[in-house]
Amino acid sequence: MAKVIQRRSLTLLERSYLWEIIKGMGTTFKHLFRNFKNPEKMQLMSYPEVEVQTPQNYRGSHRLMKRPDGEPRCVACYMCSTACPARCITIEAEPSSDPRIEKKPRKFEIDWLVCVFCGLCEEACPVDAIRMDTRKVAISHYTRKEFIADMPRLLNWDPKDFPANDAQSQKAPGGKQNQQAKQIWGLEVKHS
Amino acid sequence: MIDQIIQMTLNLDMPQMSVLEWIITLGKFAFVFIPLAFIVVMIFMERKGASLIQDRLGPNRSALPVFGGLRFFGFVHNFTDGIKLFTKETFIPTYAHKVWYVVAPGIGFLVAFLTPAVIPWFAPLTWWTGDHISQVSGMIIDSDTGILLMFALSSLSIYGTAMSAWASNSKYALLGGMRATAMMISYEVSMGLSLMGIFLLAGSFNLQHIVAWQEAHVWGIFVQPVAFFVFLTSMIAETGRAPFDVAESESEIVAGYHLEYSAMRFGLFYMGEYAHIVIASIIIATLFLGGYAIPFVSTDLLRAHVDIALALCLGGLGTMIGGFHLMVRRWKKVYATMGAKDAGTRNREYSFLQFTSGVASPVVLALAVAVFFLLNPMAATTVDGTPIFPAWVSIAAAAVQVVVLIAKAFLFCWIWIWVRWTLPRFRYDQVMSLGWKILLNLALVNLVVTAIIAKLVTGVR
Amino acid sequence: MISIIYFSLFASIAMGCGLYLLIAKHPLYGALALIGNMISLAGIYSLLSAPFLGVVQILTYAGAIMMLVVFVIMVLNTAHDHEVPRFDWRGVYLVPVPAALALLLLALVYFNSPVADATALRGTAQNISQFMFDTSRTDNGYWILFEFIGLLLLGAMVSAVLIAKKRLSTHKEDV
Ligand code: SF4
Ligand code: SF4
Repeated sequence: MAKVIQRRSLTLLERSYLWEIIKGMGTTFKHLFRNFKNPEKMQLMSYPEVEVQTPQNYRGSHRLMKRPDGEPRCVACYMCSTACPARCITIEAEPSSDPRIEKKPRKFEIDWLVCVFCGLCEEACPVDAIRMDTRKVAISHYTRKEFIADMPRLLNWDPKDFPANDAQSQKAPGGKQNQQAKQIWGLEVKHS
Repeated sequence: MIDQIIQMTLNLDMPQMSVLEWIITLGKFAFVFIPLAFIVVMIFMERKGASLIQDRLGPNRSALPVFGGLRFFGFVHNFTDGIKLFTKETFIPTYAHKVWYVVAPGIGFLVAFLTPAVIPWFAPLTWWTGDHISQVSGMIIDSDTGILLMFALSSLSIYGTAMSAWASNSKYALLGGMRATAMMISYEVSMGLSLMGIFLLAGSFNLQHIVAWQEAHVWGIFVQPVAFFVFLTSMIAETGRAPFDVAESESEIVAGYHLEYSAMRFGLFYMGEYAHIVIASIIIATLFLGGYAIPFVSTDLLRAHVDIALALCLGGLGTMIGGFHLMVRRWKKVYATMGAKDAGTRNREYSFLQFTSGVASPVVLALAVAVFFLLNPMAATTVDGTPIFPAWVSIAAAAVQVVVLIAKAFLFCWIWIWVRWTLPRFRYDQVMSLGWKILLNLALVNLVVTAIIAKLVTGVR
Repeated sequence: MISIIYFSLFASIAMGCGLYLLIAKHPLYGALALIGNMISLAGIYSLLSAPFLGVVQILTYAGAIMMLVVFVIMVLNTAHDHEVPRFDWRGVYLVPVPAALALLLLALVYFNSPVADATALRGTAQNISQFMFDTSRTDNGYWILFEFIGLLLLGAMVSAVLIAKKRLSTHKEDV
């Protein structure tokens, strides 16, 4: 049952407006005084001098996952670019050298100026090749061109920045579980 | 009015003035720049006040490139702002009326320069030159019309707004200009009427006489509280600040009358607004808070003990610097715990500020003590039981009075900022009904009641 | 000497503005010229040792009334007003009227020769109020006139409000 809240009619004091103004000004002055007295208690960060730690599951800028040999995990299936509402993913495919895989991307570009960071590409990918967990949210450059992230840039990430239980990341070149990965996949790890 | 200007500037029909009188008479014109000097502090105050009220720090990144970037807690931001305003492109819209578009922003700003002329900055200076008494008024234009002149000027300043709105040839700007005009017309009525009570009590339009009356009797705010409220409200409306900023309400008409302006032309509006606030604050302090007068201390008493007054002023300054020192120390600690990347450079800045203020504070305090012991104001002569002092005593007392007036004005400047960051904007019809239905009636009733009471108390004729 | 210079300055501004008011194409320019005229008139009043009158001239006429005029001109769409012929030759027939008035004024000044003590400030607020409201003076009936004018203006204002508020009886205003 809906709860009906009766609207209370204003008292004379409230209708005079003046007393309420004084109360409001008291509130603002309370804030001012408190913040002047204890500036460290203010809920704020001195960005960019103090790094903001966004949570791991925050949708930041993209990265492309890697196989243990350093090749992109992406199979150039175009699922992400199809799902992308902003149409900002450009993919060109080429045959993969790996006999088990049909295609791999020759070109994979995301225009971060067009991207709306909705995360649909991440959802659409059938092989978990694109992720948005880099926690990099402040993307700033001087030219428009620099905002177009090409494949090397998307592949350029360090496994050390990702949690140890994130097996996918750790299997990539430079990760802790490389040896393990080599055993599982039976592939040589290429360090570049 | 013009006569006084002529007499003052060209010394016609006046006895020959001594060099000191000349210096003071001309030096008084420097008070014209007080609003300008205020603006810098006022903008800083506004930014910091707003940010602290909203639980944030406010702008604090602009820095002088010394000692790891001297930021002065964001004070430097004003100057970078000025550089930005001066160096931006001054854009003129194609269909704007060129001449008025360029001229109009200056009108309001010009008025801000003229109004300080009617404010009494200190009590009339009287001193004993050795053979006669010299006298210089504390106002630039010591005219009988007094504050009416200020009203006249501020009623002209609305043409700046209206013409800039019209000349920009933009619908939003025109709407803003019309709102500003209508509001100005409405509130000027209650503004003028609310002051009639205090004119009646003091028996003059001359602000000097009004202050003298307050000095002799009681501050205006105690005898005219309603007038104070009405005048303060109408003045806030006149300056067009929140909650009365319907003329530039950015949620409805983008930016109102200064929408099409950029760079320093916008800067003129921006600074004119602050200059207007400063003038209004000084006027309110003069009318209702005793102006330059210190409570319970008459000008003669102040002159007799000018050493104490000066020492107290300096002592207050020294204490303020000491307070700044403590604040810097606290901030140094706060910043060190924040884990910022630039903690080193900030630490250097804070150390520098801490050191300078730590040195300056005792020096100023020592100066205060020295002033107290070294100065000795002695009456040079007595006329009808009133002691007449040598020139330096009068001038020192005048300096103290200017400081007192400015301190009172600061209080009101702060009220402007405080109100702005507390109250939401009124709707346009609310503004109008407040002006015409409430404030005007309050002012009228106040005038009638004051007149009756004044008649009953004094029983004149 | 200096007052002559100031007078000629103010007078020429006043005349120039007045002329421009007659020939201005756009009504807004005319209104602005009128404002300039009024401000220089205020200057002339001040030169005639009546600073109060001068200030009140700026305050009420240039400040308030002309502001309303400018306001109305800005509200109304005046885009096509400049197509109206700006000078009507038939107006010349009316020239004798102002000329006669000016002659009358000159004659009055000439024969009455109001010798003013220009050094004394006569038009101050105190003097004017004493002149108008000092009931002890025998020749003084101005305060009655003042009250009558006040009543008249009040009546005018009330009727203006009534005319402006057409639907007073039919519609309940929602505040
Ligand atoms: S986050 Fe959304 S908009 Fe950005 S690339 Fe992925 S699908 Fe496209
Ligand atoms: S959906 Fe995944 S595998 Fe397919 S093209 Fe996009 S990133 Fe590559």
